[in-house]
Amino acid sequence: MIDSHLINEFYEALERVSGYIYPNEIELQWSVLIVLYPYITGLVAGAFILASLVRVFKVDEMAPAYRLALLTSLAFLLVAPMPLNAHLGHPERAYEILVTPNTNSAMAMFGFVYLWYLTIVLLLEVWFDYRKDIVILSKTKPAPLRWFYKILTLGVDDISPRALALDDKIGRAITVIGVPSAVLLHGYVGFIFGSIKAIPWWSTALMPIIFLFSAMVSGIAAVMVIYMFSCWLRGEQIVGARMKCVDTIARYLLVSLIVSFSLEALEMIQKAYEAEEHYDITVVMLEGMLYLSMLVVQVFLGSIVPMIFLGFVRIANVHERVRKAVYAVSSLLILLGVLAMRWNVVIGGQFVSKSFRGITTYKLGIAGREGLLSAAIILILPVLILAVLVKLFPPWESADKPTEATAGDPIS
Amino acid sequence: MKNARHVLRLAAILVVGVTSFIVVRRLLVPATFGEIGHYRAAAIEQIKSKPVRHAGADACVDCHSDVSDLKSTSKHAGIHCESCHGPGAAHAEDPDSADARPTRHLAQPRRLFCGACHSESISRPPFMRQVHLEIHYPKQPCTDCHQSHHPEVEK
Ligand code: HEC
Ligand code: HEC
Ligand code: HEC
Ligand code: HEC
Repeated sequence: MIDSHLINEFYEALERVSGYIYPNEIELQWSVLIVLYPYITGLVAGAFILASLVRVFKVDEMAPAYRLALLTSLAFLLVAPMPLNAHLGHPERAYEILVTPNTNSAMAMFGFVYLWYLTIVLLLEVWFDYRKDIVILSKTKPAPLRWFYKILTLGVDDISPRALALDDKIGRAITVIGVPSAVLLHGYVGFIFGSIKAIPWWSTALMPIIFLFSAMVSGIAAVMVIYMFSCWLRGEQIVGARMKCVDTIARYLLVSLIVSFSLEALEMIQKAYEAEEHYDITVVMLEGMLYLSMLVVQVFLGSIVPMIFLGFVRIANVHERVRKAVYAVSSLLILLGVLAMRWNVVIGGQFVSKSFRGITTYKLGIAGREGLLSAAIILILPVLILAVLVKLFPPWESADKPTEATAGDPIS
Repeated sequence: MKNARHVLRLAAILVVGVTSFIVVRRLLVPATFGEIGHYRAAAIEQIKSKPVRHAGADACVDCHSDVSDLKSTSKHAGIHCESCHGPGAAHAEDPDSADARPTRHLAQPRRLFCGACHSESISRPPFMRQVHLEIHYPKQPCTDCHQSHHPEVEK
């Protein structure tokens, strides 16, 4: 007998489409969780690239935020597979992607890209960077915690200058591998979207680059917010070296925002000028369901306003307090804008039917596996993880002494 | 190499990690995986052994020739019995079993049931006649006026 619930649902779904669409397009397959996935990996890659600016490119002004950027990257990376698992269901089968990967599938490579990035790049980098602290903590902390640090030292408490110099060298080598890996991790996400032929909104070779730059923008903005917030939490004034640090972060934020915005604008202008057969329906979507999230939030609030703000404080000589406020507000706006951008790409792309003659809509539920609540949990979780990481591995010690081993020069 | 003991231990852990992955992988890959394609060959047997739930288009004709004769001259001729009545293999096996009996009164609300194919939607091909459920004699079951097996109304 036919399930009345299914019929009801089907009937509701029908009411949400307009124009001609194919039957399999009624229901959006990639939900809000798939919006979060590129957002989170973007934050990972962006925060890591910021950290590597300090490590590899020796932008020492940002040294106070270096370790925090690394931990941010790690916290978000730990959560990155969760939206995928929640979306696909059956997390107990997740290991299969590593055990029997389909080598013809770009998606199946995620497990390896992820593992590589997690273990070889981030965990190792954090370990080498923190080894000295871990050894010290393993001797000073009270009992149960001490064992935890003891295990992390791998039983070696050698923190002689030569050992630390070696750590630093290896750490830098890892960062050098890490930058292309971060590019790979996020470029890969863009590649997945860019290679979906059925959706013209995605299918462009610019996609990996656009994703990469928006990742840098969001990652840098996240580090800015988290850094400023943690300074405030610890009651530290952002002055002197710290002010210099946020000034420098803001500089990189502005540059990457300009590049990212130009790339996105370039793509849109090109689409508008080419005006291929799918363009008309894209305009319908832009003027309708994407108006708020794309034109208002992504383009205006998330890009143009922060660009004007950040640009203004760079050319005009404004007071530090104004600058800080501008940085905080711009970074928050950017974080929102990039989230909107992921939404517009992932959800917007699926609105348009391959017939180019019809549009469907998306109903975001509150509860449920792919609802608003699980999305909120997945977004809040990295912040909690970061709080724990910061407690376990305080990133501050060297914060006020940028000449420490962490900041660059090896002690020899 | 004197100050590199921690690096050596780390390298050892990595080696152990990679080797145990290789070992564990051998254990985890299902026995018949990859014999035919990128899946478990044994899955085919497993699926084959599942009970059949649909009887097929012709199975109902023998016993319900009245319905099928009626239907075959109507616009619903091309729609299989089980599209509306649901899987009927168990019923065709044992028509007396009350548990296996296909529902006569289909999914409630019935108007939505017919609407699954007939409600107005621009994305449907025009040969599927469409009505606005809110306008087309609302609140009355479709079957008051249309015989499901011969839905045309005499004009
Ligand atoms: C072996 C003969 C036989 C076959 C084959 C058979 N049926 Fe039936 N069916 C019956 C009998 C007998 C009844 C009446 C039972 C009763 O009313 O107690 C019945 C009842 C029904 C009813 C319920 C009628 C009511 O008033 O509740 C439906 C619906 C139905 N069959 C559909 C089907 C469909 C669909 C198929 C094909 C998948 C099918 N039948 C195949 C013998 C058969
Ligand atoms: C378009 C959907 C549809 C199709 C196709 C269909 N039925 Fe029905 N059938 C119904 C509905 C609805 C009822 C209930 C009618 C009512 O309550 O007035 C029904 C009732 C019945 C009944 C109960 C007695 C009667 O005649 O009202 C039998 C038996 C039956 N169907 C058998 C079949 C068989 C056999 C086939 C295939 C030859 C078939 N049906 C195809 C929708 C369908
Ligand atoms: C599985 C899809 C499906 C379901 C369910 C279905 N129909 Fe139909 N119906 C069709 C199709 C397809 C046609 C047209 C076939 C053709 O014209 O070739 C049709 C034709 C009709 C017609 C004839 C229109 C004309 O041209 O005069 C009527 C009336 C009708 N259906 C009523 C109903 C009612 C009432 C129900 C619910 C009991 C129902 N249908 C359930 C698919 C369906
Ligand atoms: C009060 C009786 C009545 C009820 C109830 C009723 N119909 Fe009709 N239906 C008619 C009549 C009379 C016609 C033919 C004249 C017309 O087109 O209005 C018709 C025509 C149709 C047609 C053909 C339209 C066309 O464009 O050729 C379809 C399809 C149809 N009905 C489906 C349904 C469905 C589905 C329901 C239940 C949701 C339903 N009807 C309920 C009386 C009814």
